[in-house]
Amino acid sequence: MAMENPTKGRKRREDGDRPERDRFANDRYTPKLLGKSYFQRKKGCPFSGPKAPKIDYKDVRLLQRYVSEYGKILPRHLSGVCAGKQRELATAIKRARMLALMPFAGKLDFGRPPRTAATMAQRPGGRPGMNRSSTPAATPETAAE
Amino acid sequence: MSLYELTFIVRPDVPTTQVETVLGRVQDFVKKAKGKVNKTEQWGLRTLAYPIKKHTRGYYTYVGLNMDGDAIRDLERQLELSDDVIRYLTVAIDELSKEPTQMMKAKNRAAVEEDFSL
Repeated sequence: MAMENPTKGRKRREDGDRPERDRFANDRYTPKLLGKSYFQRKKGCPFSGPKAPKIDYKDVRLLQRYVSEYGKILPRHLSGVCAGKQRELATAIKRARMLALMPFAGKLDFGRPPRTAATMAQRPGGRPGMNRSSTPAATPETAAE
Repeated sequence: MSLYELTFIVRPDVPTTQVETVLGRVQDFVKKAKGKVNKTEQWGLRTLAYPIKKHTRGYYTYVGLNMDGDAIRDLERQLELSDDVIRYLTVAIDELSKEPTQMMKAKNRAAVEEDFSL
């Protein structure tokens, strides 16, 4: 008995039994993961790195993606922006609001559709049809005039 | 001397030539203050995200400046007093890129101008 116990203990450590069991437990414990997995945040900060876009108050199309449906600035835990860049982003959005390039609250800018996977995909370059899709909200206004 | 970006919005119910006049006045002011206008852009008539002084559109003009800070304050006061300018924003910047701004690149102006011609 006294001889067996120490060997068993050593074997367990070598096999790495314990870490494996722990990993399993984490996977099964879904409630804690739910919040994170829901938003599928895999990437790091979209403004850090060599190819990152520059945060600029004039680039409304970029800023639009970091704003909620109601024009509120998205919290970092949803957008994944790092702390420093979030501060830059916030001032940029506030400047854009001052110039009436973006709304303070309420309606969407030019009736643009809310942030979805589809709108995110449309971003690069912008297809010729894109400008058209942003008009409908503006047209009733002009018709009245 | 430091670099600034100035964007101002001219009210839409004014003839288009008036936009040029306002821009001319800004340029004159900068020249008088021994500053330099490095870049000008006309973003044209845009729909405002919210009404400003009961206007729903406005002519946007963007100017890149190299100027004294004190002179900028005077310039801002002039814009404030001007009846044609409904909103302006000056921002101090580190460097002025020579490329056109994002606004010129991704212009939804075509759509807005289409609306205006109706």
